[in-house]
Amino acid sequence: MTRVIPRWVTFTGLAAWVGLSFVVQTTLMASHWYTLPTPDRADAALEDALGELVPPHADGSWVAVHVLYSQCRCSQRVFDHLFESQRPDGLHETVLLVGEDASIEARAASAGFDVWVVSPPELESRFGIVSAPLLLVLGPDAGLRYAGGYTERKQGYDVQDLKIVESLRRGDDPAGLPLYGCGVSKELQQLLDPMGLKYD
Amino acid sequence: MKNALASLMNVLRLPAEMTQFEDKYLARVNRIATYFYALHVPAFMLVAWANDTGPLMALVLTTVVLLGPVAAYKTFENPRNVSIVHGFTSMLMGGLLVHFGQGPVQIEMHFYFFALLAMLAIFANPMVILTAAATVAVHHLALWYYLPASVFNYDAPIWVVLVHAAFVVLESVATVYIARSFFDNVIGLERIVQARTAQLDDKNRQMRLVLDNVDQGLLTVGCDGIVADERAAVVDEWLGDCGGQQFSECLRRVDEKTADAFESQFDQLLMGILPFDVALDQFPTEMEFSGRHFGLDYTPIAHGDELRQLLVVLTDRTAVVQRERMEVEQRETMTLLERSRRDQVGFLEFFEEAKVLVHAITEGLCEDLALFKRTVHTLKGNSMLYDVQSIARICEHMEDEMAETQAAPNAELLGELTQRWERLKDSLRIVLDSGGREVVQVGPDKYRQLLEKALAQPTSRELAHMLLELKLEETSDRLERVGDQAKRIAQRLGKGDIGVEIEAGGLRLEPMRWAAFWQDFVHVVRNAVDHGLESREDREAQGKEGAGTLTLSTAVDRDCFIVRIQDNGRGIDWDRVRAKAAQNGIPHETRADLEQALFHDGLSTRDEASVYSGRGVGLAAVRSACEERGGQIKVHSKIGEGTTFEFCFPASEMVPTPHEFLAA
Repeated sequence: MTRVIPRWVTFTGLAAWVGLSFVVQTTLMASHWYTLPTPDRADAALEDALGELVPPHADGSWVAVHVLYSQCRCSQRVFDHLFESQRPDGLHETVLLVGEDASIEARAASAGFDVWVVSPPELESRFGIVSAPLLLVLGPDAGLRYAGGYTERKQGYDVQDLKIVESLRRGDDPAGLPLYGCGVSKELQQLLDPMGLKYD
Repeated sequence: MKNALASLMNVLRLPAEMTQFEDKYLARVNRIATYFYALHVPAFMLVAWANDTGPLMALVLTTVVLLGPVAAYKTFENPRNVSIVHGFTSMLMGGLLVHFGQGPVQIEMHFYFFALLAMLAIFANPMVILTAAATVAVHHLALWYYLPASVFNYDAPIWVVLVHAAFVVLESVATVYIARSFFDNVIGLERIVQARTAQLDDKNRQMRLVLDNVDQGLLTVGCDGIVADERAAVVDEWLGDCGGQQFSECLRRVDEKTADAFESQFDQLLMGILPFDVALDQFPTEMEFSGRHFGLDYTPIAHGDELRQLLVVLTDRTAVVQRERMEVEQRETMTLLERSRRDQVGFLEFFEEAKVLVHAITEGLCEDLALFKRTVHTLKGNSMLYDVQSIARICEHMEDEMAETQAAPNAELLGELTQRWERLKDSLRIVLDSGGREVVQVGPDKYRQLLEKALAQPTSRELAHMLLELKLEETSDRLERVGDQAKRIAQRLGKGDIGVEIEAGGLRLEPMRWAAFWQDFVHVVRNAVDHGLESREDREAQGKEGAGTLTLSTAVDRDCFIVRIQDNGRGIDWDRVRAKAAQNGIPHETRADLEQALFHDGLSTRDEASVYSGRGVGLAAVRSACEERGGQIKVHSKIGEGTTFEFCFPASEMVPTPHEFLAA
């Protein structure tokens, strides 16, 4: 029987398929597995920038700043947690929303959160932050007491912001959890998703 | 190390040749796997929709991954290569699932990899598992190269990564083992069967070689009577093609009697009424066709008491039989030579008589079947008396055949008799040539007596009578000879050393004139010994002392020449004679009727014939010979005391006149 497709075409096609699949898979996985960078707690510039987000009436209080990215599924889950959980007394909470999302803004405001909307470049230039979701906690002295992720496991159910705040209030110094989520800065997105499959 | 590596490669690499079964199996499994991956497209779209990770992207990427196995399935000739593509595809699909299933259950999505890795064993090809494991390994290496931190996520230390990898390796090793075992013991079963079949074929070829070259006909017969395919080539050579045939039908082509006997006994054997050895004793053990002799031996092949097959061994015994026959013939020749040395006249007379009888039988000179039977019976009797067993045996076969067919013996038996007779003549030629000359023997006393009479100047008439007397035979010689024969018969019949008393009365007879009578007189002697005299045990039980006695006498009473034979045996059972006569439609009312019935052709008081008597032929023959000489027979018998036969002839018949002698 005459071969319809030459053997070399078949092998070349399959080799291309193998290579392409490898690259796609690798980049897809990289974006999931990569532990995102978190800011340094000793970063004074960050403390100053965060201080600008705290209203005067909250001076001397514990302040939690939730850096959430409107384009990120992980950030979405943290949003849901914030709106659905009982928030503690004596804690002032601010949502630093990266990218515009009117629905989130409205929900956050109605739930009693201060909402600040910034663009991804502004987040990096003003706060030096390149990834989200990120929890930042300032003490009554406006010092940065916590900078890290929300969960111990990647995309886990157990969002630990309340435990972290409670621990800080008790005077403990909990270690920052790893940050799983999305790159916000262009550079990080380029690194994690060179083919642009995940980030627009 | 080298050996270990070679062993490992032997496990990983399947044999190059592929069986038809494996080809079909892999074609089916590859097809199912392709459908399975095709179902991933909607499934992953659903997962992506549920996790908000882009159903459209799921459609695109899953379809791209699906292209590989579809293309391989459509284009690869070797289904094993298609399976390897499936191995690679499985891991890609796992990656997509983890991507599109991101969320709280994303970690659980990783179970897909382990599940698929195990499922790949269904391809029964270690290389498929190896491909999948290698895909995972290369993927991780690529990630590590690209983003080292991604492999060590959760900020995991190196040992955590190694534990992660160890599980993959562990499962891969186990799955490789399972796949290889699956191949060897299930997929490769056909190969194993082929290998074993080849071994069996080889053994069969060797067995065939043996069977084709043995000179014994080895064969097995199933319980259905069919000859098994594996049998010695000579079986078909001797019996014709027996493949798939009933063994009895194969036998029937060459020997109907043996076939019937086998068929009947085989049925008995299958019924299992008798123990195997007893049943097998009834099977035919010899057969003869086309001038060849065969022995048949049987061995049951049984499982417990259940017969499975019957091993039959056909042996061409022609050479053995011929050798035995030659030995018998040599012994016969030696016996006859010894007889001729002791009694040359008697021997020559026997030979001359036998020659006439053989001629009559083989040339068809007997006018009717009754005469044929008498002639054969007489030849048999005389042959037995002179220990010529080969001739007696042929005559016995002839008698059996005549009794069965009521026709003259077949040409084969006649030819056999002719050949044997010619061989006997050749071997006895020296004696026959020397004895063929007509010699008149005169003892010294007789010579002296003749000389004295001659000196007394006898008349010419007296001198003629004196010379004629030299040619006469003394009846004492004849009676002595008959007596010796009677003793030998008694020995063979297990009746011990019987006594024989001779009372010749000094009589002489012209030998040629009386030859026919003496020849048939032997039948009476045989009857007397066989029927008349009891065995030693029976005699003792009846209070009789010692073995039986025969009295043989010749006498002249007035104008009668009497030949008498008297025994002191059991006597004639006249009631039995009466019953037999009635059974045969012969007159049986008076004692005279019964005496006549004794000599009736075909009547015997025996139910079964022996080699010596019982066919009802002998006495009929002697009556015929007696009547030819103008004689009469008288029978005196008393139960428990014995029987006397008297043959009364005109005394004038004893000796011819010189003129009659010359005229004859």
